[in-house]
Amino acid sequence: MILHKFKLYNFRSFLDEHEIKFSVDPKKPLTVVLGENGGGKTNILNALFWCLTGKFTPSFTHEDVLVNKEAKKDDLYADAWTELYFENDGKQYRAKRTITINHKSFDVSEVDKNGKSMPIANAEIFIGKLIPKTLANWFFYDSEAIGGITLDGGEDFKKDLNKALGFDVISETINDLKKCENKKQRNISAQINSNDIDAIRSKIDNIDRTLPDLNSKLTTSEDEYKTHSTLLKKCNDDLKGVPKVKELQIKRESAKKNITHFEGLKSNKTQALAKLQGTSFAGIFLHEKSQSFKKNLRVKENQGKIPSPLNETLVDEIMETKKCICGTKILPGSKEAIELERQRNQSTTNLILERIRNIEICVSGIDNIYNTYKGQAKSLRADIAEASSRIGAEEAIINDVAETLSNHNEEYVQELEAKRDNAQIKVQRSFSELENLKNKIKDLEGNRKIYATREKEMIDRSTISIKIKKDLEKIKTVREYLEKTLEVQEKEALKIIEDNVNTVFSKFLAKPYTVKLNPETYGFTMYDENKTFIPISTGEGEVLKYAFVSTLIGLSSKRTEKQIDFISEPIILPLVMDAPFTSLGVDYKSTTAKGLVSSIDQLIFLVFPSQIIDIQKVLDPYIGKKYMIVGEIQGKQGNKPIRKHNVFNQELIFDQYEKNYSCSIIKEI
Amino acid sequence: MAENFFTERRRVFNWPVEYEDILLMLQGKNMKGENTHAPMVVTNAHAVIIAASLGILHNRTKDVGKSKLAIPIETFDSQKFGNTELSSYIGLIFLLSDSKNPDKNLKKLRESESDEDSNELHMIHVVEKYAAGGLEYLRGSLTDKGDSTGELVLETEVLRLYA
Repeated sequence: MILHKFKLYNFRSFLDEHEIKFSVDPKKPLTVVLGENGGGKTNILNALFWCLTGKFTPSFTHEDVLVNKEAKKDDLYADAWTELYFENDGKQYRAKRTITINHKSFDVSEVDKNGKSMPIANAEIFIGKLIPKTLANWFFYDSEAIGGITLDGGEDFKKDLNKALGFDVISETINDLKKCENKKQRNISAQINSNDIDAIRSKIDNIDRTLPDLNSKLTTSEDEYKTHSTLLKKCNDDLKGVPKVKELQIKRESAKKNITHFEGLKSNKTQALAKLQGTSFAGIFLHEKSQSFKKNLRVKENQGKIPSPLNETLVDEIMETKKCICGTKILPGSKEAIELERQRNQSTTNLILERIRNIEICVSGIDNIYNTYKGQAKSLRADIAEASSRIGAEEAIINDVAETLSNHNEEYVQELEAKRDNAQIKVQRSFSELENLKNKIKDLEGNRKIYATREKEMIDRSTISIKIKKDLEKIKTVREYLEKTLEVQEKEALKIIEDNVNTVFSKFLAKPYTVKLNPETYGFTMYDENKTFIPISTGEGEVLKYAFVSTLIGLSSKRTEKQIDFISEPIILPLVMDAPFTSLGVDYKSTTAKGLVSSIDQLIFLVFPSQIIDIQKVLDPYIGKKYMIVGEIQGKQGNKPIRKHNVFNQELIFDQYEKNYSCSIIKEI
Repeated sequence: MAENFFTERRRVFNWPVEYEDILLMLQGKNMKGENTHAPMVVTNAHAVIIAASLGILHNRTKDVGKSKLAIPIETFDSQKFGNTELSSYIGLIFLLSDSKNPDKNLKKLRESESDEDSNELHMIHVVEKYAAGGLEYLRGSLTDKGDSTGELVLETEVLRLYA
């Protein structure tokens, strides 16, 4: 299919009729339409897509409002239409789709050399054959929505790709054959009239009734799993680069607790030190003098002054009896009596001994205090210093947390974390549901096989008509053949896709990376030159998507070296891309653009003026037609800006004020 | 010891009221009686013993004067530093009070029982003067060092003794 001309009338932002003539020069296959943000690029892409399929791309919103609002103001019944002139297999066609407030129509006509139109019956079916609906999404490529398309496989992607490859028709045929087989089996069972066979047949029928239900639940469950996984991935992506608030809060709380603990410890030790000081200071101050006092006391003791040789009681007795123990008379006031009194004054009494003993205990206690204080105080001070240091360290943690959190909206991050946790739970739950369902289905399928074998054995032993048996065998043989062929084809197709994506990938990507396509999930994984798995980065992921599109287009048009049998007719479609390469890094833009324009028959780029500048040099040799979308604005300019760009060696102005209506117009450059 | 020193009790131990803030400071309080820091001691009796010891250390005495506050003597019997009653400290301080005449100090042990009452009065009077002297010394040092808890001044004294 080659697109020649496209007309659109009152379609969304475009008031009245506008026309684009696409480049049909095989050497210059590229038509460029420049448009600013909100200019109408996506409207043009969707006008084209709608014209051919009656559908819209993912980023197209408000599908119910297609008729231009200015046109509707004048006439509530105003219509909008799109008209595409194209060539296929050497014949010229015109497809037109119209919508009004109460009417929709679509028609396709073959146009002969004289411009005469011949309507084609069943227009939708005719177009459907030219553009398989599943493939259409890849040919009308909405780059703004491409971020949502993933190449990590999954059931939906598998289904789409299988449809695109034509495998779905074979799968349906296989299913139909299975139904026929079942019907025949039931007929046979009814003929044999055996309770055993009836019972087995009933079990098989039960399984056949249950399985579609379970498969449908499996699909729902897979969708749920995918939704939750996508949400989880998004949350995790959003959380990258923001602090882990929960963990930080736990860290902060733990630091606060530790501070309380160490402050308590410090306070205890400080109290203990103060108590030790209070208990010890008096003793330490008295220590030196008390020691010399103690020493002096010892000297005096040794000199015999303490204790005295005379016993006080003995002196009292002598004084009372006035007679010494040696018989000498001791008269009061006599020389002897005075000497005895003097001696007694120096004598040791119980009181003095008690005093000495107590003083010695006190002095000894003081000595002990003096000897132990330094060590005890040192140990307590070390404990206080350690506690202070730990408090400091914990305070530093709290400050760090506060600083980390101060740069972010704590509540937002917390919400995100809660959302992530919730999604994580749902992912786990849906995964386990999914596994349960898969196991149930596997069990049922296993049981079905066993029952079917048993049933077959019973039928084989029975005497039912050979004709029915033969019919059954025939259906079974065809079904088995198709299943095997499908398996081989699928394997082959995936291998071709993988090889071609790698060929294209190597053209687009500067790094020597390769990809593999998982036959189970249809997901792509990437490997470096040493065959080591590496995660696909955003930039590489985008390149991979373009490589995949190129491959799919190549396969569809049977232009790959190897081909897939089930795509019976070559499909040649133009590639229409809205805002291509927006998500690609600068490094990849040029190579990807060149790769695409040099390998596809017809390309239409709806692109930002600023973006074409990056790749203009690469694209220049391939550009056949150039258009721009100009925004016409009602009213005066005032403070509003006028958007201008120097593209294709001229200054292009994209806004025009003081117009009768606000709308978009298409101008050829 | 105390029992033997104080057969009949002198009722009170006097200290100059001007040093009330220092006594409270050693008990971890300000003049309003609010807790401000870790207390070294829990009673005025403990505080005056530390002050008197400091007075002995620096051989510093001061008359208590007319503005004074009193501590019941019984307090010194019931309160301790570790295992030693404060009254024992009073006895020891009294014995160490004249460092120039060690013999005289020994003689104090020999005072006759009949003089004990007057001895006790004399002893308490001597220790009160040393406590007042110690408090006066402490006041000067606290001001010099800008110390609000007493720890710095007293620790400096202790360090000097260990040097």
